This record gives sequence, structure tokens and C-alpha cells, in this order.
Amino acid sequence: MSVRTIDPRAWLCWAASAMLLPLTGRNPFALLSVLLAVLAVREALPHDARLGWSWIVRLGVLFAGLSVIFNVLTVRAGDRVFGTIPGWMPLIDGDLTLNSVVFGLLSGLAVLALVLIGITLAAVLDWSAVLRLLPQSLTGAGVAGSVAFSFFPQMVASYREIVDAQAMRGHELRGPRDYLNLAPLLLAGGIERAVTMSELLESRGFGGAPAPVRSRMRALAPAVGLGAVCVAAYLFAVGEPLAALIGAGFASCLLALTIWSGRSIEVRRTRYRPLVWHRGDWVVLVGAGIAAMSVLLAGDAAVRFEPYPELDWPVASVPLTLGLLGLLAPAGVLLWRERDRV
Amino acid sequence: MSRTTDIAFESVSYRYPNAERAVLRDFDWEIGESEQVLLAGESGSGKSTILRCLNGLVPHFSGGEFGGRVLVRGEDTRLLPTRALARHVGFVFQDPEAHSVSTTVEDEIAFGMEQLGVPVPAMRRRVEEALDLTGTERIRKRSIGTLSGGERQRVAIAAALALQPRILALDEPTSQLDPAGAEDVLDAVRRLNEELGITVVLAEQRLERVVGFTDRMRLLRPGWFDLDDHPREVLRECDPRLDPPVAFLGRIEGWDPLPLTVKDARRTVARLGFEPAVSPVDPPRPDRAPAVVLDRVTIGYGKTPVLEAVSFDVRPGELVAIMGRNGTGKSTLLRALMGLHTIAGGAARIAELNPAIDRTQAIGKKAGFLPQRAASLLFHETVEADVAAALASRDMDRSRLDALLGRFALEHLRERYPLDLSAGEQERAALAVALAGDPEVLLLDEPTRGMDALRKKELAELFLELRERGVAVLMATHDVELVARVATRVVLLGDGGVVAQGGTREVLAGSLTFGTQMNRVFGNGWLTVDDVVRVPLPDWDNARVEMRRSGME
Repeated sequence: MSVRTIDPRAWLCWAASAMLLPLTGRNPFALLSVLLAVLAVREALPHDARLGWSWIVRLGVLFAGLSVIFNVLTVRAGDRVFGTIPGWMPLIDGDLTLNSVVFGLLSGLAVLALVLIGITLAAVLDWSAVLRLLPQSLTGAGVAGSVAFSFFPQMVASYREIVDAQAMRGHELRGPRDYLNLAPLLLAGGIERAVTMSELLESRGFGGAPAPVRSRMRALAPAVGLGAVCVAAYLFAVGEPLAALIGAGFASCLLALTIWSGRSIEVRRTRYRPLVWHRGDWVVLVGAGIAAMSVLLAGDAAVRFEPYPELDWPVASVPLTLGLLGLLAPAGVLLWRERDRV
Repeated sequence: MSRTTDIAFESVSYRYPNAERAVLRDFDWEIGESEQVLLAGESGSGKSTILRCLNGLVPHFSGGEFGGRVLVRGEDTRLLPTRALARHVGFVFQDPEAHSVSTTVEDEIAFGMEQLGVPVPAMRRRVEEALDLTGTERIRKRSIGTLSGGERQRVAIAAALALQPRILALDEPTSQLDPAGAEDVLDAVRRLNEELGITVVLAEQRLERVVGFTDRMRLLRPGWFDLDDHPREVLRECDPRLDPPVAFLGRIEGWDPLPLTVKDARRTVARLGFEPAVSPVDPPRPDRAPAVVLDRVTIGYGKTPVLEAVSFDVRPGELVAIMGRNGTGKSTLLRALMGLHTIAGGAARIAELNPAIDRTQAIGKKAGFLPQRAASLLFHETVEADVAAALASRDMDRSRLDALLGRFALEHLRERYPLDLSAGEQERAALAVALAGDPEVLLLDEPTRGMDALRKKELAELFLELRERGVAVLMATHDVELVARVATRVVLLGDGGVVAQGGTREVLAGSLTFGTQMNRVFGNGWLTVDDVVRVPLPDWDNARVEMRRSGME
């Protein structure tokens, strides 16, 4: 069975929905619910789709750990003091609080959840299908997305190649110094391959004919529109839903203008193999929708947890947890199709 | 630019960013409509740069300093983005492994057509034609990630062919293909040129594959005047070591006209009544214990076997070539011997170690390995540090460092960062690393891929030297002419196992697919020009010096 049997549009909706909570809140119960749902989906993937990502997970855990340390050493707020760094240690001196440990742990958990969602998407998503979905006027974004999307897997491939080559030379990676030596090689290889990818896309005519000369305003519309999307997401994350809504509306107008102006380009792309939307894709879409709505409609306390200035028990929201179960939909669809296949 | 000129380079100069010198200087060239031209020259002579000018990758993507202009069907490439030029120019890159966009073969072939808005019925027809032309029909549903390098190259060519561009630019399109696959692909290119009138610009190192059907050949010679004429005239004037075997023989024997193909050579031999030297035979195998043994070895991916019950051995002083179609498991077999791929059945030994049990690091201390991408072996800050580390990992004295650097002409590069070196220099550095500490076994995976003729000849000399020194060498390759020159035995893989093995002449002689040019002309055990001629070959290095002195070159 191929994980490509779920439509890429459905996977994208699932990922967007799954990322909503780790990006906007730190409620431990909700974060754990998302994490468990993502792990369950990963477990339902075929074995080969799960291979090769363990080191990124380890990297995620490392960053999560670093976020705890960084938080504890730099944040002085909170009511639960468990130690003090003396004044002769500048920059980090002051009270160490349990509040900062908790916030650091939750931030780490959110980072880990985002990493897991990212690698799940990278393993299952047919990027070329997504490229084909992009409106012609977002060609630049498509090339940039391809480069970004291919950068990580290609860096993984480079890593394997180099480690294999080192082993062939009788060399073993031992300490941090050995791993540090790998960094420039990986970076150089990753950038080289990413540039190659963008060259390839252009050489294959991605984006079709060049857009006709447009006014400066129209030329800037896609960039401003995508920027407005980011601003709207940020406003939502910091608890300004009304401003976020206005930002999203502005972004929608600009992107609509971009797509509409792209339609005047003379070449219309065709599809060799049109995407077919199956019942399973509806299930994934509805599951993702329920999860997203449950996050958006849940109260602040159910999503956002602030351990400052006082550390209290977080709120456990049953409706939110039940809603987040919608993220399990891909696992159900994959298992169902696997059963059918057998 | 005349109406029948498809491509015009007008005083083009180009220097890559941070490069010390320009790769092109006041380069002029015109290519007519429906012409088929061949670009040849040493590595680094600018072949790829010229091709990349055709679709605007130079300078749009490369940056650097660009002067002059390139006109493609009358349009200035500086003024159009590459994606717009894609309508005119189909491009096949040198390294197909890094050049796929889609996940399956069919989607990959269709991708460009989708972008250009080719109607679906036409797209379906063209996909089928491209699959047939490149022999990729049987892998049409496969995921790109599961294909071998050669299979990917065919798919890349199919994707370019499907666009039916007016101009097709191919950068060493057969460098990873087996001989039959290369002939199929080049035959398809020739048909596109002859029957559809597509202009073809082809850069190629293996001249014997293409000179026979090329209208014009441009030989780039940095520091010298380029040669631009019919291949027969260019080959008559160039360094003889670049010649395909039949042309080389023709020059030695003074044949006129110079043969370019096996058919030409056969006619000349019949016309002149040329008699080759006595047909040589395979030498006996060295009477020594094998350094590499495979006994009914089975290797696969998951539950799918790639090779089953493979048995052969390599003795010290032997060079065994593994040959076979693309995707038959040659590279996988080498990786399995290094302990990088699971051996599912049977027994194997390499340098007295068991790759099923012993770690790759342990095997790597006793056996050298040169992977397809030589640069992956280099990971230190300088060439010197890389070679020194290789010596240290094999517990060898650092005092041998200078000798090793000297042997591979790396002294002047010792302080350079390995990834900044040219491909040829990287390959030499990787060889120095692989051979540091004089390993008793050397495994090579396509060592001549993309290598120019002169460097290939140097490499052949090195292999002969290694054989003399008693190193057991196992080499996976498609390069029939190289195998004929340096290999003592050949193992032919196919149908999931060994289909033939024996002495080089025993296996290659009379083979339709893996025969050399000399063997196709003369038959029996003649494989190389050295086998055929009665007199020792001239020392071409000295001959070239003499030619320069006398102003001939």
C-alpha cells in the first residue's frame, strides 16, 4: 500500500490542523493529545516511510532539551523558586524557577510535535502533486517551496552517503568534533542539491511562460499576501483573533488578486493524471476540520497555558481532546485500506 | 544570424563566481537548424557551460561574469527566463540522480508537458513514445527513488524527449548507461534529429558511441584553438589518445579515409586486406588464495531479491569487472561486500573478513572503496588532512603522505579544501584516500563515469600497476573498452544472478552487447588496439611534445 493513496490536499489540511495547537498554545494536555495522535498516524504508515528520520527526531529532542535549559537560565519570573545563581555569574544570575522549567518543557514538547508533524508530512506528501496544484502566479513560491521541501530529505541522503563513505575508510564518528566536521559538508551538499532542484524546475518549464508585464502593485501582491498570512497567524498566536481575522481577509484579497491576474497568462497547465478525491480523503479532511475547529473554539485556558507568574494546574478540556481525535483520521484510513488490500 | 541558424554564440565570455579564470573567452559558434553536433574536450573545458548557456541556466542561475550573447532561435537568452526557453530547449543534465521532480516515472516524463500546457491526449501519446524510445516502459509505474542510476538517466532523457523541443541539449546522456541502453538512447536521439528535424547538441566523453552519426564535432582545447569540423577531420587533427579505437587504429595504420565506425573499419580492413597480429588469449589465473570470495550470495531489498546465488572470487593480482544491464545489482553487490547492505544468504569474505558479521569500519581498514561520487570520500578541511587521516585509519606511517600525494599529482593541492577541487582533482584525491596504506583489496564503482579519455587512460595505467603489485581489484562498470584493456576476468550479471563469468576475452569476445570495437571488426580474441597492431604503440606523450615543438599542434 502506498501512503500516496491519501490525496496531498488532505495531507496538507491534516498537517495545518495538527500544527495549529503547538503553534498557538502550551496546554500540556492538548499538546500531549496532538503528539499522541501524530505518533499514531506515523505508526500506521508503511515501514519504509518511517525509516531514516530517527536522527531528526533525536535532533528535535535535543532542541527540546536545550529549550528547557535556555528557559531556566534566562527567565527569572515565577513563584516557585528552587535555587539561585549567585551574582558573580553575570547574565544568568538570579532565581531559578519551576515555572520556567515547566514552560521550557512545554515549549520543547511543542517543538517535538512540530518536528514529528513535519517529518510525517515529508514522508507521505507527493510534493510534485502539490507543485501541480499551485496557481501559475505562485511559481516563485513553488520553486522556493520545492527547494525548502527537498533540502531536508536531501541533507539526510547526504548524511547517509558521507557516513557510509567514512565507514568505508575505516572511520567512525565518535565525538561532537566529528559531527561538527560533517556540518559544512552537509550544508554545502544540501545547498548544492537545492539549487539543482530549482534549476531543474526552471529547465522543465515550471510556471510555464513568463507572466506578462504587470503593474508594480500586482507584482508585489503575492509577496505582500503571503506576508499578511504570516502576520495573521502571528496575531492569532498572540491572542488577537479580531486583528488576525482582518489580516487574513487582507491576505485573501491579495492572493485572490494574484491568482486572478495569473489567469491572464496565455499558457494553462494540463494534468496527465488528475487527482481523484476519494472517500478516505473526505474522512481525513473532516477529521482535520474537527480538530482545527475544536482548537479555534476552545477557550483560552484549554489552549494556552501560562505558568507565569503563578504555576497552577492546567485546564483539561474534554471537548478539545475529543476534537483532536480527528487528527487520527489518516491512521484510520490507512489501516482501513491496508485491511481492504489484504 | 541567418534564418537557418538555430543557435548562435556571439563572442561569449563567461567566468563562474569566484573562479580565477574564465571558462569561455570570446566563444563564437553557430549551429544550424536540424544539425546534430558533438561537443568534446577534457573535463573542465567548458562543455557543460556551453550547454547551460542554451537554456539560460548560465548566467541566470550561475551568476558570474557574462559577456557577448547567445541567440536561441533568434531570442537572446539573457532576456528570457529559463522556463520560457524550455519551450525551445529540452535539457538532460549530467547527473540524473539529482534531477527528478516527481515520484513516479510516468509523472516525471509528463511534468514538463503539463507545465507547457500540452493537451492530455497528446501528452498520453508522447509519454508512450518516450517510454518506448528509451526502453523505460517496464518501469513506468516505478517510484523514481527505487531506480538505479542508469534507469534514472533514461527517465531523464525520456522526460526531455517528450517535450519535443526544437533543440535538445544533452550533457553526457549515456555516462551511466549500459552499452545496449546507450545505443538505444543515442539511436532515439538520432531518429529525433533525422525524422523530426530536432537540433541536437550533445556533450559526450565516449566518442566511439557518437562520432559515427554526428554532423559536426567541436573539440574544446583550453589554451589551444578549438577544432570545429566533421568528426573525421577533427579526429585526424586531435590528440590521438582521444580517438575511438577504430579511428586510433586507422591513424596508426595510416588509413584514409579515417574510419569512425565499426562498419567503416570493416570495409577498410577488407579493402586493404589488413591482417591483425596473432589473436591473444586470456592469461592463466594467478595461483594464489582469493582475496574476495562470494559463495552463493543472495542480496535483496526487503523481501525482493536483487541477486541470488552469486558465486565468484577475486585473487590477488586480478582485476575482475562486474558488468550487466542497469539495475542488475552491481553497486549493491559492492556495497554488500563492504558490509553496507545485508547479505541475505550464502557466504562472502573480503580481505579475510566476513561482511555479514564484521563492521564496515573493519573492512574499510583492509579494503579500499571508490564510490560513484568520489567526493563523498573526502570530508576533511584539506586534501592533505584527508589523505593523512586515511593513512592513520589504516595504521600507516604519516611519512608515506608525500609519496602518496605525489603519486596522484596532488602536491600543489594539499592545502585546498577538497570540495573546492574540480571533479577530476576530487577523483584523484579520492583514489589517494582509497589506496592509502596499500589495501589488499580495491572495490571500484563506475570509476570512469564522466571521465575524459586522457584521464581514463591514466586510470587504466594505475589499474595495471595495481595488478602488478598484487592488489585484488573488483570493479563495477559499463565501460567495455576499459574492461578490455585492464580486466583479467569478467562477471556478467543479469536475471538476478551471474549469467557468465570467465576470462575477459572468453566473456567479451563475440558479445553483441559487451563487445569492443576491435572485437566487432576482427572477432576472435582481439579486444583492443594493442591486441591488433603488430608493432608497439608509440609513446603518445612524447609524440605530443614533438608535435608541439614542430608546431603541428
